[in-house]
Formats: sequence, C-alpha cells, structure tokens
Amino acid sequence: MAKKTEITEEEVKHIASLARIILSQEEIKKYKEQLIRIFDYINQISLMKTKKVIETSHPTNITNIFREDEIDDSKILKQEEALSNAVKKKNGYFVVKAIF
Amino acid sequence: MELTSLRLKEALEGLENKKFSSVELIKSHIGRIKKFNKKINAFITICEEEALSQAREADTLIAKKAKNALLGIPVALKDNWVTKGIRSTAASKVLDNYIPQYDATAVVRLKAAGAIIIGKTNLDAWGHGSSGEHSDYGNTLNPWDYSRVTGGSSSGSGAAVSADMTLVGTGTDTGGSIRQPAAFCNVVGLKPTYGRVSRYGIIAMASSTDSIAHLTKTVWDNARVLSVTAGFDPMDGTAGKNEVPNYEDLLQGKISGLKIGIPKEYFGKGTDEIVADTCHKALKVLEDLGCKLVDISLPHTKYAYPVYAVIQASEVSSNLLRYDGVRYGNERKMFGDEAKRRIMMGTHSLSSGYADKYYHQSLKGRTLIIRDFMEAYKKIDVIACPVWPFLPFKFDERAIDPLKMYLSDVFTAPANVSGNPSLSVPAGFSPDKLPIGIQFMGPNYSEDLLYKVAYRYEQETKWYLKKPKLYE
Amino acid sequence: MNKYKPVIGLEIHVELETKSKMFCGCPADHFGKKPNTQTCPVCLGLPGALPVPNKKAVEWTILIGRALSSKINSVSKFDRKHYFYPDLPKGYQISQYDEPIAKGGWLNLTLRNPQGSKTVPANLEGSRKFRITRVHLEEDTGKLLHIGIDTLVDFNRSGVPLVEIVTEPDFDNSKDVKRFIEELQVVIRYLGVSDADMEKGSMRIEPNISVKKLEVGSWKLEVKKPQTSNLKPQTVLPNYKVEIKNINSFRFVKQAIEYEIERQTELLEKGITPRQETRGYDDKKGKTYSQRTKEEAHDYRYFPEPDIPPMIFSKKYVEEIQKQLPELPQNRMQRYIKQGIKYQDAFTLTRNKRIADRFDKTTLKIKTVDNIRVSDVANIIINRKETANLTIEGLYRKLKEFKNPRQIDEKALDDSIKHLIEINKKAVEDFKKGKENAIMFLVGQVMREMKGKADPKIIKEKLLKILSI
Repeated sequence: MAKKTEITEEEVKHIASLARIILSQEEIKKYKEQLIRIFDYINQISLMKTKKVIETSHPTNITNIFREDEIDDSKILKQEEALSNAVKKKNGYFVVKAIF
Repeated sequence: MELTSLRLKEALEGLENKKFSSVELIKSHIGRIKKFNKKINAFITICEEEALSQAREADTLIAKKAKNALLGIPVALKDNWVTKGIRSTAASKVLDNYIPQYDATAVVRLKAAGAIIIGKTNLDAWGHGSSGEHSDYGNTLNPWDYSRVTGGSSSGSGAAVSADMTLVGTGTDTGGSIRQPAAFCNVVGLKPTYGRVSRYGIIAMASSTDSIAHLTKTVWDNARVLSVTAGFDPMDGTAGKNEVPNYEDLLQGKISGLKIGIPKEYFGKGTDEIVADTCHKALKVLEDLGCKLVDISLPHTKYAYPVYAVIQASEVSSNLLRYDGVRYGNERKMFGDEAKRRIMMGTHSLSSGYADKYYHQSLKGRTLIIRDFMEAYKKIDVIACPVWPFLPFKFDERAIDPLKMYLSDVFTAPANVSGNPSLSVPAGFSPDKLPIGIQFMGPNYSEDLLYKVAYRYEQETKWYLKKPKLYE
Repeated sequence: MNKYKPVIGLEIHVELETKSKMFCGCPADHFGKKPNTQTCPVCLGLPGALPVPNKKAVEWTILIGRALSSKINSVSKFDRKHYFYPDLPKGYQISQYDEPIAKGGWLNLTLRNPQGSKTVPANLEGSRKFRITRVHLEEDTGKLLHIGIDTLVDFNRSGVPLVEIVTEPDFDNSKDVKRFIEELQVVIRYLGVSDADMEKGSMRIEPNISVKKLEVGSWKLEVKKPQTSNLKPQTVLPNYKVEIKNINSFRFVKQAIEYEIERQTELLEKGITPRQETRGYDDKKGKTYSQRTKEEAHDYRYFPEPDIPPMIFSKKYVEEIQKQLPELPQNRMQRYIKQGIKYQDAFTLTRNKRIADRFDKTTLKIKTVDNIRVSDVANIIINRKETANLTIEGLYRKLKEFKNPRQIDEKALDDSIKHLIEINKKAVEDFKKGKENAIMFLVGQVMREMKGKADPKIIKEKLLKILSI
C-alpha cells in the first residue's frame, strides 16, 4: 500500500529556493496542499515491480551522437545579436545584479 | 468560394493552376483572423506585413513555374517555436518581449518549402496544460462552442485550423498537446515518433518526450507538412536518422487485413459512454473496410500517467532554470501559477532523498510501459483508442483542481512515455455537436501506416467537411 | 601529545585545446577576445537550443584517462548538474555524474633517492604512486567581471570543454602536491590536448584539505618507508573537508595548503572541528579566507542529460585512441637513466616533449666513431641554450666540434685577448673592482674578433688567468 504523502511548509520553501521561485506565505500553503494531493496520486508508482528493471532515460536506442571538432561560422552570433534581448548591458557585457 | 475554407491540398492545386494568387490566399486568411481572433484569441502575434510581402514573392516564383512543397501557403506557428526576428513568448509573460536571434530547424524547413508564416498561435504557457486555460495571454475559445476549451497545449493552432484562420497550425506534443486540441476541434493532429522532427529551436518542455508536428484539416494535408519538417538534424542529438518516406504516396495503400488493437484499459469505467461509442463506431467502419479488430491489454496503463508526470515535471523544472532575466526575458517571478507548480513538482521529484522514489522509479516504469507496447505490436499493427476520456468541457470545469486537469492526459501520455507516434483524427460529434477524436498509435516510425489507416477512415466519413459557425 | 596528519585530495580542471566548444561549433579559443563575440544559441543558453558533444573532446578525455592508467568505462553519459550562478547560462552544467568516461588510475612520481646518490636506478625505490579517482568531461562556464558595483558577464568561455581529474586523498604534504601537479601538467602537455597554464586559467587546481588527529601511539605506524601507496585503504578519513578555490599558480597551491594545514591544526588543538566549507586564497596575504556567500547546501539534482544519447566505447575504439599516446615523461625518464643520463638531467630533458624529442633525434644521429656520449647530448641541450635554434643536423655538428675542436691558432687567440684587454680598459677595471659580469663582455668581444671559432670556455679561462695577476 502506498503511504500517505507528507510535505511540510519547510520543504515547500526549500524546493522553491532550489528553483529560485519566490513564494508568498499564502502560496506556500496553497502549493503544499496541491503537492501533497499530486504526490499522493503519484505514489502509486511504487507499486510497480521494478526491482530488476533498468531505467530508460532515452526512449530511442540511439547512442554515440557526436559532432566533428569544427568551427561553425554560420551559427556564431554577432555581439549585438547575443546582447539583443539583454535587460542590462554595458560595453559588450551582460550586466547582472551584484547580489545574486 | 471562400479561400479560407480550402484545405491545404486544394490550396496548393489552386495556386498551381492560377485559380487565385498567394496574396489573395494570405489576404483572405489574415482578414478572417482579424475578424474572429478578438473573440477566439487563437493568435498572440499576427505577421500581416511580412506575410503579404512573402506572398508577393511567392506569386513571382509561382509565375515562373517554381515548384515547392508549401509554396505560397499560410502557416501559423505555435508560439513555443522560435522564429528569428518574430516575437516568441511561449505564451508566458517571462518571454513577453523576447525576439529570438535564430529560427528553429522546423521553421527553416517550412520556409525553405515556401511556406508563409502568418502568425504565432496561443498555447498553455510553456506547453503546461491540456485545455488552453493556462496562457498568460488569455484563453483560446473552442470555435465549436465558445464556452468550452479547445484542448491544449496547442490551443491556438487547434482553434486556428478549425476556424479556417490558417491551413496549417504547428504544435508540440509532450503529453498530448497536439492530439488533444485536434480531437476537441475536429481537426487532424499528429504526435510523431520522438526524434522524427528536430527539436532544435523549439522551447523545451520535457526534453525526452517533446514531439514536434502540426495540426491540419485533413490527413493528406498533415502528411504533406510532415514530409517537409521530418528528417535528421545535426543540431539535435536526439533526432532519428531514419529515412523520410513519401507519406502522401503511401496514403493510398491497402489496409485490409490490418490488425487494429483495442486496449481494454482505455475503454473502462473512466471513459465517457459517448466517447467510447463514437470510437467503436469508427472502428466498425475500419472493420468494414477489411481491418481486423483485436482485443489487447496494456497492463501498465494506469501507471503511464504518473510516470509521465514525474519525468515531465522533472525535465520541465530543469529546462526552465535558464530563464533568469539576464540574457533575455523577464524575472522568474513572472512565471504563472501552473509553471510554478510544475517546477516545484519536478524539483521535488529530483531532489536529494526523493529522486530514487520518484525520478528513478519513473524511468524504470518507462521501461515497463515501452515493453507493454512492444509486446502488443508483436500481435497487432496499430492501436486505436479515444484521445480524451470525456467530451470538450467548459472553462474552469477542470482547471480549479490541478490533479483533475492532469488526468485529462491519461490516454495521450502513454505514447509520449514510449516515444511512439500517434495520430488523432476526427471521429464524429456528440449529440451537442461537440467534436470527438480517435487516435491511432503505432510502433516507432510507423507514421505512414497511421496516415494510411486514418486516411481511409477519413475518406469514408469526411468529418472535415463540417465547419463550426463563428461569430464575432 | 596528539599528532596530526593532513589528508589532501585534488580536483583539477583542464581546458581542452579543441578548435570548437564542447557542445556547439563556436571557437574554443577565447583568450583575449572581445566579450560575447563567440557565442551561439547553444552556449548562450537561448530558448530551444540543444547540445551536441564534440567528438575530439571525448577522445582526448579517453587519452588523458589512459595516460593516467584509468579504466575507460564501456558505457558513459552526460548528466545535468543544477545550480544557480550568473555565469551558468542554462542554470545547469552539462557534466558527468555516475558514469564518467574514466575511472581509477594513478600517476607515478619518480623521486630522487633521498640518500642523495646522483643516479637512481629505475626501480620502485624512491617512487610514489598517487591514485586517481576519476576523469570526466564537462563544459566550462562564462566569466564574471566585477567593475565597481556592476557584475558583468562574458559568455565566450561558456561551453569550452573542461576535463575534470579527481585524485584520491593520497597526499599528506604540500611538496608532494606541487610535484604531482607539475608532473600532471607535463603529462597533459605531452598529449598536446591543452596548454595547461595556471596563469591563463587553462589548468585549475582545487585542493581539498582536512587534518586527521591520530590516536596516541598510532603515529609510529606512519614511519616513511618505500611504498607504492602512502595511504592504506583502511584508513578512516576525517569528517569534514575544506575546499580551496581561486589559486592561480603552483607556488600558491603549496602555500595555500601549508596555511590551511596550520589553520586547521590550530583549531583541532583547541578541540574545534574546522567548518566544512569552500575558502578562497589571498596570495598577497598568504591566507585562505572564508567565502561568505550564501552557504546553502548544494542539491545538484543530477539526472541523465536527456538531450544527449549515451556513449558506448568499444575495446577496439579505446585501443585505437590509446595508440596515440606518446612515451610519457616518467617512462622516458627511466629510459634516459638506463642509458646513463644522470637523474637531474633526465628530469630536465623530459619536462618538455619537444626538448625530449630533440634529445632522442640527436642521439639517433650519433655514430660510434664520433665518440659522443648521450650525456654530451643531454649537456649541450640543457646547458647550451645558444644551440636551441639549431636544426638537429646543426646540433650534431656542434657536438662533433666540441668533441674534436678545430685547431685554432693559439697565438692568434692570445694576441686577440691581449689586444682587447688593452682597448677595453673600463671593462677590465670593472672586473677588477668585483663586477663579475664584465668578463663575459670581454669574452664576447674575443668571440666576435675570432669569428666564433674559439671556445668561450677557453677564452674565459685565459682571461681569468691574465686578469688575476
């Protein structure tokens, strides 16, 4: 039998900080309830008999895909193109907030 | 004759035979968009000027007897397809002002085939949704009943094709996002084999399930577009090297003797009676055409959705980390509610202490689900089943409960987990005139077979002739 | 009284000298380029971009692994390592987690026999083995610049291939660490895969340092004796470790380690366990310092990179790559010593592959009749820097000259010396006043007059004789 899920507010805060998402206190409560409900449903996957089953991370059988060590001029962006969507830029650089 | 009521095949013939020009074709579609889009909200961006200028070029080429697969044809692109110089938002305020510096490979191919981009269509932000209710740019209304959803996440493309605003609406199918709007809007929608069409330049949702294709009015139309976008791409390490067959030519092949599997898990208590009935009727048509209907079981079906949910949310949480507002886009606080929820689901599934229970267990579940399908395909050629467990629903009916919304994907997600192709085609209408779709699934790279079966069914029933009545 | 023993492991990053970046076709050589002029959708982390791995980078990683005697995994893959930093465009780094390209291995250092004899026979006496844990491949990040209150980012370096070499915590002193990383640098340069330059940042060292308090009496077991591994497998490691970053020379690595050992020992003596953390190194102050950034525990949430299919390396494939291995410096040194070269010279010759190759090619030319010994070749290459630009042929001829110097007119030489002493009175005075270098000036003048036909050593001897009267 799948156990009942327990996700605490602390855990929600932790998850949000790992994902750099800022949540209000209200949101923390809301997402906690929703995540509990969702993972309660998901927990049934532990009922699958997977002891000797290997993981499939790629649904195809492809292996060994490489590119040759060549410069591809056609894809290189000009400096203005690279910076074209930047919120803040200076002398060819992207500018970020000093405190991240 | 309304140019906008043409199907792609007819439009190509019309242009070639000089019945009308590309400029006229584009003008008529833009006109229709302008008339009905305020209500239906299928488009986020309309490219009127550029489209007309390209139409003029197309007419010049057509006059010189130039031939190209989609020359002069209006095409609408889902707004998670990156287009150089044309705003691409993924329907999220985070990318409200993003103007890509490059074109997706699929876009390059469509352009090279002569297609004309008339606009970018609405979607559930980032692809996160099955109804079209999660766009940061407002809901897209179902042309068949404005009080109901189109299905998602390719909601805009579904509505646009269905409402005759475009001949082709492209999309992405990560858990059902092309097939679901196709089924709710009475159009054809393909989820191709994973890797059949390049993902380079498609804003990533779940990297191991995102399948790139399109919605069209008919099966032939769909085959024509796939022949343009399919094929190996060195820019995408997961793209398949399989040859691209001549999909259109293969439509005419015989289907008698073909074995169609009917999975019992898709026709149980959870499936609406009208939906199940409609599918059975459709299968009877195919039986009368010579196909053999075989009962099969896909025993891990009930785990397919949670397995999909974990893998998808995990990859989503990772793929959305690049949106930090430095090189492009707005700050992360602009993420909508659904995006935040999925990011947290995924982060939790991958986090230390939980990764084995959720992420790794799901990867094992994936192996079991793939095996189910491989076993089935030893006995049968294609699988047929409903696309949705229920009829097109009203706005807010399912959105209030995220889990209830997620469960809309139970019939579509399995093909995404396995990577197999699946084609959704119109199968009829409910007594309330709401569209119902049926999907045909097959082994990897069997799109030609799916098209063949669907084409024969389509020609017998011609559901595409029915049109929704639009009002402004 | 308690005894303390340092436990040190190393994390080394090497930037590969491929033409293009790890996952895209942008140029990998970013040194001195204008900011953000060598980026593309992939390395800039634009929406929709996808990575495709550089074949050469993978091959070179296998090569490095084999040079370190590592086992190449038959199945390997890339994984996503998630963390936030402005120089990391995707919010994750494509790296390798549980299936790296290479596992295990070691680097043998041949050390001069501590008893001080000039030649050390090629045996295990005086050699030390330091174990490698793993060698894997990943992508580099962009570069941050801090100017005033602004933090600026340049993504030219983002996506450059980086090989990470991790050692076992086999080191217990800073001298061994310095010798090890110097040897590793030579090996990497021999392979021609990187210029491995710490000042340029193409080689980066991050030592992990802890100090172990030994139980009373157990230090007796640590008496130095010839051994192949200086850390017994059953040794228990301390329950913390401190990582030091931002060190940009070998000398500073040694200093940072020494400072850190002292700092940690002091704390332990007070009964305090040093905090597990990352520290920076201030080379001006000669101290490590705590990096008071938000020290949240990293949860990298590693998972297999879904955009890149796994890699399978067949035995045959690995063998083909292995054939590209040159004779490595340690082996080369052993060979020279066997040939009769003294240890110090063998060491010097093998520090640079081009020079060692020059030595080999020249010795091949020698015929028995020439009466030239290999030590003569070593000598001329090491000590006669003026011969560096000669061709192998030219060098060979010079050697023959030295062995059989042409009869120069001794009288002409003496005359020349006398003459130049007369006209260069100032130089002579300087020399007599104690300016040693003045004599070299005079030697040069004689050489010029003699049109290079005289041996500067002989000239100097004669001058000294005359001037010392």
